[in-house]
Amino acid sequence: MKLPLVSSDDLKNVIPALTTIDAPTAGGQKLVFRCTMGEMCFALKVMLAGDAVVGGETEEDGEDILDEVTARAKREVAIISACETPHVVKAGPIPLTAAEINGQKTIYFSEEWIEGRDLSRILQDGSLSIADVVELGRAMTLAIQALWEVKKIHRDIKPGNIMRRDGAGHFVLLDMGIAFDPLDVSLTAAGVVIGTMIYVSPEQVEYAKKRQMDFRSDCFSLGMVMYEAVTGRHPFWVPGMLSQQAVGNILMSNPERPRTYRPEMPAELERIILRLLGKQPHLRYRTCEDLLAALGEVPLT
Amino acid sequence: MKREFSEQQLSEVFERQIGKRLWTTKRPRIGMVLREMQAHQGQPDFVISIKGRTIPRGLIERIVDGVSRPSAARVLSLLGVSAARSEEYLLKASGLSGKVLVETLRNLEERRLIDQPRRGRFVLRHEIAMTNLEFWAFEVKVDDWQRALYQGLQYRTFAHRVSIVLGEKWVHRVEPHRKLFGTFGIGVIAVDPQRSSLRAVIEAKRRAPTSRFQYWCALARFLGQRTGPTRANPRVQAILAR
Amino acid sequence: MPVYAQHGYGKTDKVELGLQQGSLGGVILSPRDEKPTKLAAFVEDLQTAFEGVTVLFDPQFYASTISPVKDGNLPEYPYYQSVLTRARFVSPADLQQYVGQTLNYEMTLGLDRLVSPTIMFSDFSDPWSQIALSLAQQSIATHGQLADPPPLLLSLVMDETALRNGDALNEFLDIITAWDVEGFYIVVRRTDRGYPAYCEEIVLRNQMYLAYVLAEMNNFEVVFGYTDVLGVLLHAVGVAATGTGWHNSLRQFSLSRFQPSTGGSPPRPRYTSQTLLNSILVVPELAGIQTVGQMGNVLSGTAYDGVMVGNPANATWPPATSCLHHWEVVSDLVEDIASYATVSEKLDRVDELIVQGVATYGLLRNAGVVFEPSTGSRDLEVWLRSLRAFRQNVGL
Repeated sequence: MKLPLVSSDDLKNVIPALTTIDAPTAGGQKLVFRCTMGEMCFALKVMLAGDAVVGGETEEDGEDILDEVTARAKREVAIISACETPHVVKAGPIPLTAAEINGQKTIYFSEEWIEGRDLSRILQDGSLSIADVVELGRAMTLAIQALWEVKKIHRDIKPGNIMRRDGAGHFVLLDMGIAFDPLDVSLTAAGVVIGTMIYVSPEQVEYAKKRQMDFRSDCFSLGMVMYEAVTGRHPFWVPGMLSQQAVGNILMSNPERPRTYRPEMPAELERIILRLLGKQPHLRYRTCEDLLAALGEVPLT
Repeated sequence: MKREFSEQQLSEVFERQIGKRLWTTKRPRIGMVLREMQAHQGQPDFVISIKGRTIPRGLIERIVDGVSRPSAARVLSLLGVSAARSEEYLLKASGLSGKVLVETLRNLEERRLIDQPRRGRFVLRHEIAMTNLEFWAFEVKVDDWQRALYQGLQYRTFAHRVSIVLGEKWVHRVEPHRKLFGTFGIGVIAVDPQRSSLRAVIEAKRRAPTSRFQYWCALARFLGQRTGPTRANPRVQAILAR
Repeated sequence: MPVYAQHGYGKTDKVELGLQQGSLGGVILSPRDEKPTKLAAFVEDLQTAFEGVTVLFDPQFYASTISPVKDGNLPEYPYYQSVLTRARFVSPADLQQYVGQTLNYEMTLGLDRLVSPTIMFSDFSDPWSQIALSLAQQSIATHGQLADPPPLLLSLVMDETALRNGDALNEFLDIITAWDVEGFYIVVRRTDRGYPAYCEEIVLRNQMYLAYVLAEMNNFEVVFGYTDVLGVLLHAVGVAATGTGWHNSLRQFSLSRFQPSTGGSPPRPRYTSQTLLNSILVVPELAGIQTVGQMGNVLSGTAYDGVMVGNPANATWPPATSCLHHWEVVSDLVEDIASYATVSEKLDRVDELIVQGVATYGLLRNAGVVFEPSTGSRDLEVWLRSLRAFRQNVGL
């Protein structure tokens, strides 16, 4: 999927109310502009709409046919609007809008701008402290819980989709509803493009066969992220491994116990992470409340 | 080792030879022989009564009729001839419900199997107490001595002697376990169908039946010639030994 | 006390006596064996006389799919329908009706828990299992609409052969553990009609896994019906309660409970030995043990043992006494297990008890006691292998 050819000036023409528009950064299928409108600072995400007509033709029952990109964006905006937790990125002031820019069919919407770094960059500096890992777990569990309350599964929980705010240090989950982004880069220190396949849950892999998935799938992904955050290593992948091999490990192999790499970590935290990495959903936590309670029991001293 | 003879064949040889008493060093006076008598627990292949005091026909009929249910056998097993038992005692000791106990006592009294010397107190009638028919039970197996022993142990509850009957070719298997048979008092008889012969390998020990209740049940069934699964079973017959 | 009386025909006053002696914590009622007015009165009497007693009602809706069926008093209950074919479980409106009528009836009884209607299935992938899931989901929905109902236990009745398939069990668990419900009432139908029924190692291992995942890992309240002494293993992995009754048919579940009788002799008196973890025959087994002087290794130490000390063959051991003794033994075992803190420690203790049982059987056999296959050590050996395989599987 191509990126749209849109500049800051183009956006200023389309949305005159914007006060400042920084140069864009590429994020997967979209350009992301840091913008201000008065005192509000937010991220404006611009994508190319698909080839099908945007908001045009009508089915016999009166519903619009949307291209996949627009449908996904619409879903994403609906989710972040519905979630009430500081650990899921908030919607911004600009709603989902279709527009033709430079002869391209585009759609754009806004999210809160988060000053901070994403977890994948943070982990390049080394693993997190135990307290931070527990806080990461707590924050992401609240995010997963908020999503599940609106009957959604993120399906793409990975370090690259988790931001840590400067200052308060809250962890925030980004990019709702995006299943797999083939252009995403993870663990770039190895210089190998892996894609997000290495963070999928077993039931995501087997969905076509089993058609069974719920929030516990996100919990598995969270388990992988926490494992990586506490050990500095991915539980199922090592540099040089093909993504298919990693997926095979996700399905079939048990990871090394985290305390192998971080002996001083509390046994309670290790138990939580290993339980989140249970191959079957029924082995993980039944509710987010149970997981939060378990995280609350981890000694931090 | 391939079996050359069936259990049925062994039983037939035993049945033909039973009157000759070659299967014991004792010389019991055999009364009646029943095949596959339906005991309260299990179904011995043979049960013989050892002749003792003659039981009048009328008494036989009263016992057969009166002790047709286990509840009657239960009550009789708790009574003696001299010391009268109260209804309260019988209720507690028998495990029967009040209603069943009252009905059972009434039936037994009507058939003159028990007396009520004082109101609410019961004893066994003397003539019933003297009906001490002795039983000898037999379990026939070709070679499975353990199964035979297991079943034989059940018959200990009503029989004064118990023996298992095995094929001659396999009887050697019990030799290492003589002590065990001695402990339980169970005898072993070997049958050779080819020669139509049988012999005592281990003599059965005479002991009082371990369960008075089971004894009363067996007595009623034996006297009523209750055999087989049904009376019409052609495999089942009563043999009067000569 | 997490041992419940599995109610059936001929209850007399056994349940009350069991509650009085402290062996029982509750009862699982069988509408098949009691008329509605008597059952309702029984519930009220129990709740009045025994503080804290748990009263469950198994609606036995699964009998509706059995043909020919011996359903006793069930037709007198307003929710029950006999001989329903699969076609009658297709329409959501029908499922809603079955569930609604059942739960509404149970609401009239003032119970501690509601137990959902279900149907029996043989396999996790057969159509009946899907119907069972649909009934369960409908029960959750209906329960949510009731005014101030007691918590709901979802009933599951499965053939033990279903537990041979670990993969299918895993998928089934993935589904049911996602439900927002208080717990489950589970019955496993035994194939072997002998008593005690032989249970395959893989079946028992997976039954333990089912119990462990639901009760211990996912904190559901899990009650297993018709478990007999085997319930001790399930208690070790976290189940809340198990049920066992006075007849053999109330200690292990088989289809014959709801089928016309083909006749047979009355059951033989049995003695539940805590050491042997089994209900052995009074005659000839316990009598044989007495003959070889090994009673001390076998007697369970209950209040009822006295009659057996002298001559078991001549002891008065009516079904009521046998049952009260049985309950006392099972509850003593469960209490023993409960005194250990973690599942791992509980399983260590069960392992120890089983090994002790196997050793005692060996001692008895050496002394010359002969057992039937079902009352010998065969089952304990299966239990031991199952328990150890289960522990290895779940990393305990």
